[in-house]
Amino acid sequence: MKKLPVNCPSCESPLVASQLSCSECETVISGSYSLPILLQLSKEDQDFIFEFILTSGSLKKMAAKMEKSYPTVRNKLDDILEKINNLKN
Amino acid sequence: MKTLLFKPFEKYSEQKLLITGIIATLIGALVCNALNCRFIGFLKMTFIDEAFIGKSILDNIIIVSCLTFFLFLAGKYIYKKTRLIDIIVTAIIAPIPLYLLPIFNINNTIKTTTENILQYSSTELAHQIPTENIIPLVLFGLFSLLILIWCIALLYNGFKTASNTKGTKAIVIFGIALVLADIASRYVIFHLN
Repeated sequence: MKKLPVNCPSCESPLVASQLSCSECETVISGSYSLPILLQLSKEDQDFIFEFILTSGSLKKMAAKMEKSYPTVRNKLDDILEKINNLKN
Repeated sequence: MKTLLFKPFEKYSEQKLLITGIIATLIGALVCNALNCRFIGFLKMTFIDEAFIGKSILDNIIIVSCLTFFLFLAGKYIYKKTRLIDIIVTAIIAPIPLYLLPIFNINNTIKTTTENILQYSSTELAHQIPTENIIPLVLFGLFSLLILIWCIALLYNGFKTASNTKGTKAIVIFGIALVLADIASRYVIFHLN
């Protein structure tokens, strides 16, 4: 799967979606759409959130699944929350 | 291996670490007792004429309790979600390398060597200290330094994991907590044990 770039490789500014297209009828929509916050996170952080949802938000289950300790998983979640808050502001 | 030796807190559950720590602490007390050593503070070991198992265990309990108390206060100050169990496992696992130090005192080697050297304590006699007395002490000193670095690295990594610490401020608070825990453990052991 191709990695979605979220920052400009030239100036590091956040990228926006300027064109969307329908793969069925080839309709193309142009504009300037900001990427959702979750998409602006790294692949690793997105995978973590995905796992978090799959384990019904249980950090203990996640820790067991990831073979990490509970505080390590909790710290990771807190770091992601901090990143999300920074992206929101 | 690096994780096991320096960052076990990132990988292993608190139950596993707690059980390992309790077993190691008891073994440490037995080793101290067998080789006539006492930890009279978190970072202070002394060689004695005759050790008692009860005192050795109590020494270790006092040290772990002092470390837990001050690191937990520091952890809560830095990060509200710090759990007591994570600090307890840090305090009980981190001193494990220190229990290797008494091995140098097999047959009272270090104690005897130290006493021999003390006979040459005056300035005029200092150059007469026999080499066979200096070598074991130098080796013991170097080994102690490595063990100390390992122990503090474990303590910091455990504290970092437990309290999600980042930045210089957290390191300073950790350092203060460590010094206070050492002073408190020396004071309590001196007065109670």
